[in-house]
Amino acid sequence: MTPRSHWAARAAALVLALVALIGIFADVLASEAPLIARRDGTWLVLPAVTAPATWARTDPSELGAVVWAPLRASASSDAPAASPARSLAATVHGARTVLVTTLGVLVIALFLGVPLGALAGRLSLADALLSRAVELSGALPALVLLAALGAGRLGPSWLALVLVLGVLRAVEVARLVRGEVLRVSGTEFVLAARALGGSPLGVTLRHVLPHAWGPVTVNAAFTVSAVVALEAALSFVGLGLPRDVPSWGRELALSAHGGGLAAGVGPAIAVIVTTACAYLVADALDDRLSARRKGPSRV
Amino acid sequence: MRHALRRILWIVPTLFVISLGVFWLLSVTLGSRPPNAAEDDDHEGFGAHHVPRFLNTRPTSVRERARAAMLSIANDDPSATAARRELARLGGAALPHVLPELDSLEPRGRSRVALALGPVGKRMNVGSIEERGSPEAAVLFWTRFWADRSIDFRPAVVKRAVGRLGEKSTAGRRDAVGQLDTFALAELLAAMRPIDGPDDVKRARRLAAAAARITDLPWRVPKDATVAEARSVEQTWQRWWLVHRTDYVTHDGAERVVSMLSDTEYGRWATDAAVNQLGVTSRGEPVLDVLIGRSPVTLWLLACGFVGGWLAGILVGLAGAAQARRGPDLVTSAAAVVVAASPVALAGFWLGPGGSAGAARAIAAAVMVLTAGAIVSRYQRSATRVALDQEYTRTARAFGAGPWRLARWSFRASSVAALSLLGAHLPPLLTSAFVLEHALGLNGVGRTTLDAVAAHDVAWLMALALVLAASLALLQIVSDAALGALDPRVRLGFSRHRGALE
Repeated sequence: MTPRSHWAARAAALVLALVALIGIFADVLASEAPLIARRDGTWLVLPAVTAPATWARTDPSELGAVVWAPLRASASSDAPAASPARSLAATVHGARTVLVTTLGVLVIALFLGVPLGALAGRLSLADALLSRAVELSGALPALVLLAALGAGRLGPSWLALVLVLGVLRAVEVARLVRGEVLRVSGTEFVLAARALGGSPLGVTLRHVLPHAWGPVTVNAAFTVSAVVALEAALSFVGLGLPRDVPSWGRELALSAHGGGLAAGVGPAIAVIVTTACAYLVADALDDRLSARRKGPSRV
Repeated sequence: MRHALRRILWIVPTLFVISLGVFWLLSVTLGSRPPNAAEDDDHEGFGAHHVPRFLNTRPTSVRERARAAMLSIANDDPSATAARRELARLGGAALPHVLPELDSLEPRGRSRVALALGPVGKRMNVGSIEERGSPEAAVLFWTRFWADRSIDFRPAVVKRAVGRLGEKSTAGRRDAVGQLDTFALAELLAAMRPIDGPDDVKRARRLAAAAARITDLPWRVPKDATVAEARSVEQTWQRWWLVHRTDYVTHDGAERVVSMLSDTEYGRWATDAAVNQLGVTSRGEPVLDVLIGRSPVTLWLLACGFVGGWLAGILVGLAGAAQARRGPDLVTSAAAVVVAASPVALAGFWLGPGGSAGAARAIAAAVMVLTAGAIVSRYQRSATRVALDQEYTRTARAFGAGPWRLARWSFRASSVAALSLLGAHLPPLLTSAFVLEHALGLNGVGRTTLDAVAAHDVAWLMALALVLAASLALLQIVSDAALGALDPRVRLGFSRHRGALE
């Protein structure tokens, strides 16, 4: 099969990078506080971030020259007015939430899943452990598990969300890596490496794992799409993140419960665009993988 | 076939392992006790009932409890007040362990213990107030009581007294059981079941009344109760007994070993689940009934997702691959990506609750078909494209077969991808169904589950996890069997795997 020309996937990757940038610079793009302000002869740069305590005590009328953020609105969901500007600011800050959550989930999923999968491909004990983990993760959907965490002693927390999603994805990654390790272990170059006296660990690290990456990268891209969608769904139900963390799902819920449709347009577009772009990237990666394999992939 | 049977049998130990794991997870996250348990504490001394999660290395029974309480009272420990309450609660069942030991205590301790037994004597309706009230008289009374009555504290006597009370309730028979106090509880509760007809209801009414009098608990069978009402009261008693059994019964030898396992949180849940058909929710309804009552909505949504979604997805995928990268395919591909990408929360947001239940159901069903179909269509499309690139399809094309016919011919090869998705997609589809139920106000399993989480209802969540795990395993077996039927190489893989195992 001739690989498709992946202009759509390239554009999607660019959009994802843009979302990440928006997340990183959320405080510059949308904030109640000025970007730069002059007070008592000194320049304050991003006072809400660099010196929040001083800024809280400052009366805006004392300020001299001020450069405001392009979007001058608070992202806090406790702000009284349900204005479109506030919702847009929350959407901008929600990009950061999404960025941090996705990165956290990916780090956990890869650092936990790859070693576990490699072990499971090699040791029958780890294999049994992994298959129990797969069954367990099927028995309690993320929604129920997170709901249980949120209702428990700790209450909803960001760390819990990232940990749970990360571990659940790690199980999936481990399953994929295990399959790849089993596949690659049977090939002739691995046999040759072992015949040359390579230790099991060395052979796994140097010869097997580098060939097991394909499905993992595809899965990572799918993970981004899934995490964004799941986080939105969870926060929509009111189970995902604590109240003070801006999130697209909560904005959707706010607009559905009396905020008005206009307030929901921003977060809705953000969710769809981000997940769709991640999906396109994953699709393209998958396409390339299956073109190289000459067979349908089963990621 | 043999393979499928083997795997079905394997589900049972798997479910056991899962129930252990899920129970651990739930008790860690939710905490072992429901939020309103504190109220129960004062009522019935629930506080003494912290048991380990999985293994009770030192199971206690009434003997240990009674001795500990007796020693604490005799030595006038700081905890003596609590010990007095404990002894009064243990009641008649503690007497065989306390009264023979009275002589071995020093005189002041002896009279303290004898006084502490006052409430028990009052409940049993033995002795006068003077006999129970002053230290010397109390010691004398209880010593004499044990000399006269120790012969009554035997299983055979209890069985006879309870049996006679069950037949007919007279003052004498009520007293006979009342004077055994908590020592008769085990027999009382055992004699309550089975409840099948009106005679059984009458018997249960008498026995429940006796048990309620002894324990000061409110569960009586009302007059003119139906069989179902009597049964629910009886089940309440049995559940209470499950937790409190060890307060009133001694166990020796093998029973002690069993209680190391059963006298734990997990053991209590498992017994409850086994005896009462998956247990009882925190609102007192049997889990199985709720599950059956609520599942139609959720099952309907899942069926829409699996049947409608897979059919639509496969058709769209085939069409897309046949017309790859021309107008219609680009449109459906783009639509599929957007639909697959938009979380179901969006549907809830755009459509919102409101409208009739029927409309909400239809909307939810449509959303399920769309979300499942979008994902499946992507897989089907890419698998079909790969299949169209194989040499046999190229040969067919050389003989003049059109794209549609080719897509149909290669379906056997390309349907593998969509089929192998079946098992993996149960949890995500279920999450979608739960969110839709929440957003559209449908009364299904998802809503019940979210309520159950808020109420810390472990029984319901455990039941849900087990049902899910079992259906997941079955789905996996079905989809594997279908894969084997489609692709003989997969079947070969199974038998080779089995050869490696044996």
